[in-house]
This record gives sequence, structure tokens and C-alpha cells, in this order.
Amino acid sequence: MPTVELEQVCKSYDKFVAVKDLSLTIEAGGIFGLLGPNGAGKTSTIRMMIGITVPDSGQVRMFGGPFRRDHLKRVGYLPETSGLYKKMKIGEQLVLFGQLRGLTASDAAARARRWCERMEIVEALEKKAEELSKGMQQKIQFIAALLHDPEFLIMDEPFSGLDPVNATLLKDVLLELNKKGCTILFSTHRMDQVEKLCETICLINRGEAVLQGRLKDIKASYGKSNVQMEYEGPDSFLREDGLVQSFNNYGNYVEIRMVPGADSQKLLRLAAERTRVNKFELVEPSLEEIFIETVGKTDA
Amino acid sequence: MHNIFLFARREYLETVRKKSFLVMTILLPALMFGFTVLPSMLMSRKNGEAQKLVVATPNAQFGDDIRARIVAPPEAGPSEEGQKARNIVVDVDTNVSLAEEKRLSQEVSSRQIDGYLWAPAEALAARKFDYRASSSSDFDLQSTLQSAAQFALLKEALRSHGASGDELESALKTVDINAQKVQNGKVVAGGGAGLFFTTLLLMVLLYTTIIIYGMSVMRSVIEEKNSRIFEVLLSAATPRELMAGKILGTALVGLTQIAIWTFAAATIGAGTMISMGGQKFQLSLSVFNMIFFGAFFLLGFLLYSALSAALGSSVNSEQEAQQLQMIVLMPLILSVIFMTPVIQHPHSTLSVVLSLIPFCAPLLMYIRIVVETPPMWQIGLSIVLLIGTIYVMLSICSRIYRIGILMYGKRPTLPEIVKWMKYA
Repeated sequence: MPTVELEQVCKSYDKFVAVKDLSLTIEAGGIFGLLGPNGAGKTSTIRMMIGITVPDSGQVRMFGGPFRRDHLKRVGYLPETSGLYKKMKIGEQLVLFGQLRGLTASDAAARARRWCERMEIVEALEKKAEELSKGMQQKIQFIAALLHDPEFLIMDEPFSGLDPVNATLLKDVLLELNKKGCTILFSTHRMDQVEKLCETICLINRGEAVLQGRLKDIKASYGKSNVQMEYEGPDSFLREDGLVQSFNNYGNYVEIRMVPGADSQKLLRLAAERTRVNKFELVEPSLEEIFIETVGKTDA
Repeated sequence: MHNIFLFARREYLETVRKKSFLVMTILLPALMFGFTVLPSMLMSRKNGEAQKLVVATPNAQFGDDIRARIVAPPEAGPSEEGQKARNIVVDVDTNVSLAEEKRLSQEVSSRQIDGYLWAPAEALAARKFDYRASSSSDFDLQSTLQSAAQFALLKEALRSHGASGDELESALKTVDINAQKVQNGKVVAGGGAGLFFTTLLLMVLLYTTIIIYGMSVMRSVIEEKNSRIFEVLLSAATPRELMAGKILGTALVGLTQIAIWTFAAATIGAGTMISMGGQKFQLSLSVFNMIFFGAFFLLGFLLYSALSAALGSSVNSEQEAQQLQMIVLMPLILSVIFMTPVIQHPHSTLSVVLSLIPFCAPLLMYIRIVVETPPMWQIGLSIVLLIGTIYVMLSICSRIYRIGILMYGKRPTLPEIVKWMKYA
């Protein structure tokens, strides 16, 4: 039974079309990536899933049935923007959020403390939100989202504002919850994270799904059409006609997308003539490559 | 229901715990008292410096009568400290030559005297005097002089008709009018100026609390909108629950404050006498008045806070809200403008009509209740109309609120807001 199903969902605000004919299925127990550039309609899609807004047309199904408000007690939501009462003590806020999700006050308080210990942020319980740093607020919101043991967690840009240590802490918790059966939806434009975590993705642009499926299948369909190389010397060989379609210089290495059908060996020979090649590897395109290419294509 | 309770409790605790709540509970009545009663007390009190006046008149008896009246007013009770404290010294000058007039004027300029009453023979005949002083804006002194001169002339007229000392005294004894209020066919204590000032005080207090708490709803909606907390809250509760909780919580804060005031009024306030300008006032703060105060606060607050919540949700900052806020508060300000005519003629057609208009009713019907207790059907009708209006306003405003809290960026135009109301 899928956790969420959207069928031909449309939503527009006045003349602006936020989501157009979007259909997707989030399987129970999986980690799903909802990707797209800024303003693609990710947040609008999430809002419809959890009943903040109602689609103009199409259907939203959750836990195997049409959307009902009491489903929300089984859902946790971490919004992209910080959402805490500025002048209220963190401990009290967490209890309030827990109670809104049906926990008793004492149960919510105990869980809040346990999670704060786990997230190494116990000292925040007695503080007000406005006294916390951006990263700490993010951790508190993360706790608020999973306090009631949801079956379905929606994470909108969960790693924003977190340093690598805390990002790892958060990722570990998410993977642990997923192992216990919690379905997770990531909404982000950070491809590296999705690539590491998600099994299934849906890439949307301008409110429409432009690419979706299992990440492995998507990448495989592109084949090992890309070249990753490290070299010392001029990059004039990259501008040779009929070989390189595009390239992305990451500083330490360059990722090259070949013209379809072009022979990568020819590129290697050319490079070897002009530069000192330290590494030359055929790879599947990274998700970021796919993202940029797909979005670029649909924008054109 | 559970969620409404949670939001109301949060709102209530957050507000009551703030220091500003305590400060307002104490400061607001003090300020109201200061604005309404204190200036009049100060006006009549002045500083303790002696004022030197000269009465220039050829009629020495007339001058002496004026002096006697001003320096030792009749029946100076303890409440008339005010007048004594003025400490006026009066000299009688029987020389009314041109040179003397010049000399007196010079003394005024050099501040040897504060002023002089110019009453030559022809002025006496015409009963028209000049009071000349460096500042001619002391109305209180002028009216004192006027009544003293009137008194002296009357005394002289009676004397010329052969009245003796005792006869004069009894004929000229000051008349006292004690205003009393009739309620349900019975005479009850408290009325006149005391009632007027009590009404004024309660009215301004009611007006201020409705505005303060109405605006506090608006401000907290704007703050929550800016902190973008709605996104999280709406994943667990409906906008209707959010708005109801907020309004209910703030209303409870207001009622708590009023309960504190009522308690204070019942224990210390009821017998408070205010001495003012030589008159005794009793503040008639009955518990009955305070219960209606709470009721009309609640009704007025619900009406205006619904509007405030809608307003707060459709703007992005308090600055943006300010101009619109004026429009929302217009009927309240209008009520204050009509306050005096309603206090003076509480049963006139104007008063009755105004006090039935829902947007003015919280203040004006309350005034009428304090002043004369209008017929029950009028009180009932105004409350029914108010509740009906509140219901309509709440349902319209919650529609605006529902959309507004998720809208950021430019301020919506009126047609856009109307469109929001129509969304399912």
C-alpha cells in the first residue's frame, strides 16, 4: 500500500500555475526524493499532500484512502522555513506540537527530552527560539516533526543551515527511522544528498514532472556516457568540435558529457597529446548533471 | 475543540506571563484616572503662591464684599481645600482716577500685583467690569471674580432695601443641588458629576482595552506570519482552529485583567471620594457595572479582533497594517466622539439608534447602561445584533485569514481579498 498517491493533481494561484497534472506514488517504507529548482512547485505539492491547500483538480490519497485530517497525526512535517514561536520556550513548544499530534503533555515532554539528548541539544529546552542559532532551530524543528513517531516524514530541505557533523547526525536518525519502517519524503534541490539517500525520485520543473522513477534505473538509462578526468595543462581539447557536448569544471576534476555517439577514446588521445592526464574514467552521469540537463531542456 | 483549547492556552499563558501585562493592569486605570480626573483637579488647584489682586472701586462696601467672598468663601468644607489653596490676597482701592489706573497697570507689568478689577462708578451702574492682568487666561479666577461681583451687587441691592445682617446671610446662602439617579423607580445613590466622571472613566477604559487587545491579536498574527510558523501549525490544525484559539486566548487575557480591576474596585474603589474643584465626587463603580463592562468588552473585542486577525493576515508588516487599522477602528473612534451627547441625553433618539448599531454598541450601549439603564429590550436587541454581526464577521474574516496567512510578498488589493472570501 503506497503512503501517498497523487493523481493528475493541479493547483494554480490566480493565473500562476504552481502544479500541473502531477502524478506520483510514494511507496511505503521508501525514501523518496522530490526534486526541482527553486519555485518548481515542491512546496505547493507538499501542501496539498497534507491538506494545507486543496488541489483544484486531481486526487490526493494517503495511507491507501482519500485524504482525511486525522491522517495528519501519522505524518511529520519539517518545513523549509523556520517555524517556531520566537518568544516561547523550546520545551513548551515541543510539548505543544506533540499535543497537537495527539500526545499527552507528559508523554510529549518525555519524548522531547529524549530526542534532545539524542540530538545533543538538551540545553535548548529552557531557551526561547530567538536565542538559538539557525542550525539549532533546525534541529529543534526536526525533533518537532518526529516527536509523535510518524509513519510518514516530510523533510523540506532538512540539511539547510547544518554543519557536516550535525547533518550526519540528522541523516543517521533518518536512516534509522527508515529502517524501522518510516516512509521519508525529501524535498530539495541539493542533488548530492538525494543521490546518497533516495531510492526513488521525481524531478519537477514549472509544476510538471519531467523525470521520475527509481534512481538506479534513471542513471542506468543514461549509461556510462560521461567522462571524469583529472589533467594538468590547457583545456583547449575540451572545445574540440564533435566530441564534447558540455563540461562542468569542479576544480579538482572535470566532468565531461560527450556528444551522443562520439568516441571517448578519441578524446583521451587528444587530451594526452596536449596535457598530462592523471585520471580518465567513464562514469554514469551524476544526478546533478541529469538535473541540469533535464531542467535546461524543459526550460528551453 | 482540543486544538482550539491548546492554542488559546498558549496565547493566554504567553501574554499573562509577560511583564507588560502586569504593567498594563496597574498602569491603565492609573492613566485613565490621570486623563479624565486629574487635569480638572490640577486646574483648580494651581500652585500655592499667593495671588495679589486689587479691586479698584469708589464704592468701598462693594470692594469689601468682593474681598470677603473671595478670601473666605461661605461654607468652606474640607473638600474645598482647593480654593483655599489658591491663597488670594485682595486689596480694595477707592481711587479710580486716570493716574491710579495707569499706576495699577504698571504694577501689573512689574508683577507687584497679579491683576486688578477696574470698577469705577459708571461700570458699577452698567454692571460691566474689566479685569486686567498680565495673563487673561485664568478662567477659574475670572469666574470666581464674576460670582463675587454678582454676589456683592446683590448684597448691596438687598441692603438698600433695608435687609439686616442675618436676613442677608440667609437670603444669600449658597444653594446645593445633589444629583441622584433613579433606577427601577427607586432613588439610588451616585449621580451628577460623580456619575459623569465614572462613566467617562469606564468608557475610556473600555475603548482602550478593546483597541489594545484587538491590536494585540493583529500584531501576533503578523508576528507569526513573519516567523512562518503557520506552515508547521497548519500541518496539524485548521486555520479556523488557529484563529479561534488566538482570539479566545486573548479575550481571556482581557477578561482576567477586567476581573482584577473589578476585584480592586469592589474592595477599594467603591467608596473612593474624589475631591475636585470644591465638589465632592463619589466614583460609582458597582460590581454590576463591571459585569456589564466585561460582557461588552467581550462582545466588542470579538468583533474588532476578528477584523484585526483578518487585517493582520493580509499584510506583511505592522507598517503596512497601520493605515488599514484606522479604517477598522473608525466606528470606535466615532463612538468616542458621540460619547458626551450620549452621556447627557442617554434616551434621545440619536443615543438609542447609535447604541443599537453593532459597531458602536459595545461603547455606547454600555454608557447608556451606566448612566440610566435603558429598557431591557434595547439592551437585548443590541446584544443580539452584536452577536449576529460577530458571527458574520468571524466567518468572513476567517476566510480571509485562511488564505492570508500563507500569502507573502505584496499586499493584496481589495478585489483580491474579496476573491479570497469566495474560495471554498
